[in-house]
Amino acid sequence: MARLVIDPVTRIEGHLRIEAQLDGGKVSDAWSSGTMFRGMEIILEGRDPREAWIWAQRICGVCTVVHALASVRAVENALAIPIPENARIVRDLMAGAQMVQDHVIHFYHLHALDWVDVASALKADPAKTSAIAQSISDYDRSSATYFRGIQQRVKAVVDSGQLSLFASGYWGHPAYLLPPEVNLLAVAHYLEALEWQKDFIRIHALLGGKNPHPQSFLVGGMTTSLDPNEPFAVINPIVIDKLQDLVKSAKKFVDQIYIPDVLAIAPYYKDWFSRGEGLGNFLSYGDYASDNLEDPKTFLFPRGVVLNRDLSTVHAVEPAGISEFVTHSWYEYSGGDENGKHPSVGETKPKYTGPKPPYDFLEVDRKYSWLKAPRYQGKAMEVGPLARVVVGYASGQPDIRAAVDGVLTKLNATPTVLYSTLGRIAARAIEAQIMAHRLQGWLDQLSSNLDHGNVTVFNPIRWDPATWPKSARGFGWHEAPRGSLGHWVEIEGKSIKNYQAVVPTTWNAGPRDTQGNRGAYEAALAGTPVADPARPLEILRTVHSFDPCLACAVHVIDAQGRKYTLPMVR
Amino acid sequence: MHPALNEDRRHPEVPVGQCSAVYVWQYPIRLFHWALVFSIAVLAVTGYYIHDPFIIDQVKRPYLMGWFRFVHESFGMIFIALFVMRICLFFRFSGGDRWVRWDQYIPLRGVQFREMLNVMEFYLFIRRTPISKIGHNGMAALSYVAVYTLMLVEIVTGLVMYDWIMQSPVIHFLVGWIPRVVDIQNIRLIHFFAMYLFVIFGIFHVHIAMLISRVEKRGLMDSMFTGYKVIPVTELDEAEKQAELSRK
Amino acid sequence: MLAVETEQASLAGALGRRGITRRQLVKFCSLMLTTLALPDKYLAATVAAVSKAKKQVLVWMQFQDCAGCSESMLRSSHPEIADIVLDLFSWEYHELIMAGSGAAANAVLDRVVTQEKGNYIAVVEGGIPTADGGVYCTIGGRSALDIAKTVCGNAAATIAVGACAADGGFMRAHPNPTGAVGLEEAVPGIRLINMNGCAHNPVNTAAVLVHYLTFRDLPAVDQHNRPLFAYGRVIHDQCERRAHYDAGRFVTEWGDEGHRKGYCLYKMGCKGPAATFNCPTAQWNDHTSWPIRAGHGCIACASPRFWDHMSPFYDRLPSVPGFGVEVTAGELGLGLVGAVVAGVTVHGLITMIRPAPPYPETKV
Ligand code: HEM
Ligand code: HEM
Ligand code: SF4
Repeated sequence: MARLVIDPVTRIEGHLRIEAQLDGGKVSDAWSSGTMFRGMEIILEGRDPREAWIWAQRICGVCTVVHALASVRAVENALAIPIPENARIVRDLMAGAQMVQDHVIHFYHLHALDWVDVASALKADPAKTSAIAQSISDYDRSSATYFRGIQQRVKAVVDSGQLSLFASGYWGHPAYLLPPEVNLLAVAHYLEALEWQKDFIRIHALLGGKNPHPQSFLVGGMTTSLDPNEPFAVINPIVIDKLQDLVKSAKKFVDQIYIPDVLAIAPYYKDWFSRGEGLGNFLSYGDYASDNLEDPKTFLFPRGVVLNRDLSTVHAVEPAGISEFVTHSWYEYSGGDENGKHPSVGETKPKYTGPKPPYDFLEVDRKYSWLKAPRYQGKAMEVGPLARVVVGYASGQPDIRAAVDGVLTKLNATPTVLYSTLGRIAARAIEAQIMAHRLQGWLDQLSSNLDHGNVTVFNPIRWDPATWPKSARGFGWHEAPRGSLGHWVEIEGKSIKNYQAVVPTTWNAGPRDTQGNRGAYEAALAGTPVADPARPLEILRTVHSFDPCLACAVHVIDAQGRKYTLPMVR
Repeated sequence: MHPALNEDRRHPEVPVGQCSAVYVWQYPIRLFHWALVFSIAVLAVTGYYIHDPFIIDQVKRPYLMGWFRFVHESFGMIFIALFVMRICLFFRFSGGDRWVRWDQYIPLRGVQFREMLNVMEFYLFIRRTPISKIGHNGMAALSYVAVYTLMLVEIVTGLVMYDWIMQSPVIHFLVGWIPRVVDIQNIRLIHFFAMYLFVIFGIFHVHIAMLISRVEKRGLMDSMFTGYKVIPVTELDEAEKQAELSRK
Repeated sequence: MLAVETEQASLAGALGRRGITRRQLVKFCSLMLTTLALPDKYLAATVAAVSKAKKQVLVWMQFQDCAGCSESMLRSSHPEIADIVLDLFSWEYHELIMAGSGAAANAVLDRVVTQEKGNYIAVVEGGIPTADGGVYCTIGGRSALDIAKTVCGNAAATIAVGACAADGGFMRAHPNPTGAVGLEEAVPGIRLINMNGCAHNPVNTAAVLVHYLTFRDLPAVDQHNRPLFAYGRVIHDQCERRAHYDAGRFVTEWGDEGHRKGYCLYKMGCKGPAATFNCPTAQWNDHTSWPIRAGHGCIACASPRFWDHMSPFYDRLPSVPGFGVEVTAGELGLGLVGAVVAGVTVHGLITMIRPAPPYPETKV
């Protein structure tokens, strides 16, 4: 039995460490540890809640709008501020664009190298690649000359002996199964996606000044003033035209490159439709209301819980059902660490007890992570694209049903294949496609509001702190690209008394709880084959399929689960 | 008879014969004083506008903020000139400037501390009468030291902000290093808050001037305009008597 | 003579292989020179430098970060990020996007630090926690501080990108629970340049990289170690809303008429007057926009310690120490003035009702 350590896990956001016990070429047990702590909620105490989003946004620079969104929602919820329709649309556009862009970056730049052997692309016949490309998609850049150019560029890099980012790759690993031609196709699209993502995300620049960390949110709306006749209004017909082009490019990229690539690569890795299944419990807070803000069942991504892969029942989400354990986390609870704290009395007192750096191994039977272990009604949950798709599918959400059934038919498979490493990839792609198309609807709505003189984007009733109650509490939920995100805020006077966030990657990458129940990563890794412990590609595949985002996860993480009325998710 | 010795200005119980009109504040200090009062008024109003532009006029005055800033910065320069002038006066030793010389302000002698104590007692109603002096009493002198320090603070912070906008090499050389120590936003905060301290000083100052003037009846208030105070001859020392004689 | 020929051969060859025409290359280089505010006479040197056969080795370290600066680099469009990481540099270590993990990644870093000692560029993103022996950020079991000392200590030059690497960023904001600091304090005495900003603007960072390739040196810096070409001018002086400021046309409430017309955001807490950066001219995401154009005030993210110094972001001035965001300086000042007026009035009244004192007064 050997202990394998992967630290740093790269091609993720943040600092993740995986320790795995190997037994007969398979993972028998695994521990997931977040190795960075920043103390966001401690820093936010005493600051102006109207600017909390600017700070909270910096929790993560990859999913850079999601924390801003959850934060303004939390404060708006606390102060009971309804937001105008245009603000909701602009937020949806920005968050939706984030989701599409993030999923594309994840697939091509963070995940693809687990499946694509760059070195093998050199052996490809560009003409054949071209034929494959043309058979799976209408995308225009698919000539043999084009692929030859890509191949030469890769060759130049390899010949130079300076392989840059690819220097540390696991090229030639037996687990790579794609033929050279498909590898070349994927490498071409790796570069293509790199170019596209930075063009497309100008949608954030247009609506938020810049990306990363766009700067146009407000408690009560958005700063994106609308005016059909003002050249200096943030949104005017000229900007709408630019947004149209960008949204079109998203649809084109997802439909013509992303989806066909996933469908082309998946069949070579059929084994991975049954590997990395994980917990089987799925949680989605739900998000993206079109018109009915009150009923989370009608959201584009509905709210609900699916337990034990049972698609026949979708349970309602009880905000008070969230609790957190620190038995294996570097925090201290006043009443003893064994008991999960009901979040209303949650605490965040960092107390490192791990080995003094530099260290070789963590003490995994004791405390071993900066992440807490959130549980829903005592159960570990998976959140993220797969959870959303599963909950949406089980709830009968028509877009999700249609998209999932479409993909499953093409792959000739049943919904059970979704509970797997590849299932997560497929769910992410499905979601990106649904979202890319939904963007168009929102944009058209915005454009029509502009034409009809509906230009309100901000609700000023509670901007002045003098109008606030003495104290207030609220929470904001959002379905971020990586899963269910919640921010909780308590305001007293004009300042923040308590600020907490429970984020997707904490659910997924969190450590064990008191009962020893594993977190989603830990559970999903069990049984993963590892052909070569020096090159643990298989482990990375499953971990990456969750799209880890550790900076989000560690900073932590208390739900103030007092009695809340169901929040309005806008 | 000197006009300062009029019945209504001097204390009725002191006969004219026993009084002398002493030329306490020569014209440079009076000029300085009123120019200072005026420039502070202008700087406070324009500064407050810069802080919070309360007139939002888009049509009639197309360069409103520009003007306010121009006036503020120009008067800022006048303010600096006044400060420099006052520093020179501290060290001018000729003629009647003895009451505004630096040694009148820095409390180094025991008597100055006793005066402070006495004046405090007067303010707190423990004593019936204040200390009457030809120049400033120790307490008054100290408050002016405070005000000059405040002026210096305002000038330095003002110049740091000015340097931020104007990039003048001389000013940059003088104050360019300051934002490294105190960041520009706190400089702004200090500059802004000092404005209130000037106003507060002004209120105290005028209140006390009126109070003392009324109680001691030596023409204190008038003196900042005319230069003359009414002093019983018994209180004149040799130097004053000499000056008095030479004027007659 | 031979050397020149070889050099040129490699240049032509390298260009050809990359599918870049010489014209494109020259255009790119002159663009870089413009950003750097350097005269055209350096063009030839720049072109030669960026087309060297052996690529400059570079490692990108991430410590207490949010990966926003990495993402920002990925948005670089002049030059394209693919050109930077594949052609201009040998971008060997960058956790966010590099191929290998764990041991494979650590091996790359070790190799660079030993074999390229004194020759490679280190780019650092994220703050460095120093409290409690550095346990708040470890990579491969080593503390961030330990790694930073090795990697930056052996680099030819270090570029601290983003507010966090430059000065500790938001982790360092009061009360700084993890003892975070910027690189300048964590590893003193190294050859360092700060690219403040949250995130850093890739246009400027690319320009610094090209400057280094050309001159083997970092550009001239200001007192906070930031390159003058990018951080030398006040935002307020370059702002497209400046005419409105001078005219006294201000947004007074979010979404009001002035906001729709693009009036100045001064009254909404804009920190443009306190910030120096080329944000208005360089802009973001291929020169698409910048925060003030999006209708939100500047938060001065490129200024030192901006989280504490420039907040609260919706007030023009910082909070008065000890009062937090509950009371602004103006309210405090007015309150004091009111109290003084009241006190003085009472004092005056009491004096008035007392009989006049006898004459002559007692002497001291
Ligand atoms: C009694 C004296 C003064 C008062 C009461 C005063 C008051 C003010 C106030 C209230 C502000 C606005 C601060 C803010 O909210 O940002 C201001 C700004 C300023 N003051 Fe003064 N000030 C005085 C003297 C000076 C002096 C001596 C200078 C030197 C040149 C100066 C230069 C400036 C500058 C450059 C600004 C910034 C203008 C801008 O932001 O464009 N001030 N002053
Ligand atoms: C904010 C406004 C004012 C400021 C900053 C100010 C400042 C000063 C200063 C610095 C001195 C001492 C001069 C010296 O010895 O160097 C002084 C003296 C004096 N000021 Fe003012 N002044 C102000 C307003 C006024 C006003 C409005 C009056 C009259 C109504 C006045 C009457 C006097 C008198 C009578 C003295 C002589 C007081 C004594 O000997 O203790 N001041 N003032
Ligand atoms: S918006 Fe900000 S930077 Fe622009 S002019 Fe107004 S105050 Fe200055």
